[in-house]
Amino acid sequence: MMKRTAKLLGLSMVLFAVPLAYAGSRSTFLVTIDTVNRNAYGAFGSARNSSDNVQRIYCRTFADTSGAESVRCFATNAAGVGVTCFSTSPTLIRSAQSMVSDSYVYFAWDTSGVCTNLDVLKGSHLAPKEQ
Amino acid sequence: MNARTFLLLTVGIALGTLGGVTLSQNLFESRVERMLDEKLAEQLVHMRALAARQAVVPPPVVLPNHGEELRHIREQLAALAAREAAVGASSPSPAADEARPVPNPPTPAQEEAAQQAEALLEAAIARGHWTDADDIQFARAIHGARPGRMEELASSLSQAINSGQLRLMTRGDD
Repeated sequence: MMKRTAKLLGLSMVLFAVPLAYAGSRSTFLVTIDTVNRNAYGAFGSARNSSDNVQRIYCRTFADTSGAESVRCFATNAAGVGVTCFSTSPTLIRSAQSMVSDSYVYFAWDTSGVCTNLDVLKGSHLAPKEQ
Repeated sequence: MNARTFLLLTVGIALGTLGGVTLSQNLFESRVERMLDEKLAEQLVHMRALAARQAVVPPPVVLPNHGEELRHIREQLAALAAREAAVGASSPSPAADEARPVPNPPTPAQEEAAQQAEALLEAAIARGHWTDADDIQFARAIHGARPGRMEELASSLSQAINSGQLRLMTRGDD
């Protein structure tokens, strides 16, 4: 009798246990490229977690002991279109260095392929990279 | 009217006319003088502005009368206008050319780095794609090139990718 009661109690606990999950705002920014207006954007997590294995977006800063610094950003969308820009602007380099693992990045360039803007956003609504 | 009255009347008219003419002449002269003074003041302001622009301070000149001073001002203005025209015609000036820094010729190491970057880019264009490994090598190479050349090479890569001449490899197959 006791055994049966314990089993029923266990079963009811499993059945009625409703997990409490709260979630805030979430935004997805897949890699998007506008070759006409020369800009690209996307969030690291969104690109990484996308169903394709093509899209990605990133920026790399480079420095040497002579004091020369530069930044280059790349973006490839799901269709495989790739774009890039380069800059030695200290402000853009600083912006690139502010990126974190789950940042959103927007960059724009001129006809010479020189970056004109580099926007970095960090926020709770940006998905982290899952794997 | 007798002859005496007529004579007095004639003399009176003559005196009145003469007085009026004299008054008018004085008024006219004073007006002309005032106009000349105004013109002179305008010319002086204009000349000072021009002299300031040319960083030339004209020596103080004391002249006996306005006519002489005006003639002197005209000469100064003509000289300044001629100088200004000469400066405008020869733009950029030789002085500006001399001030412009001449880039140092590249060192052998800088030249070698630039050639390495060029070779990387040419090989990639021949293949049609740009890998992460290419990118790392290219970044190192262009940073070894002289300033100015680095930007040119970086721009060449950007344009090759943005025009579709080079495809970015993204599948981890590089």
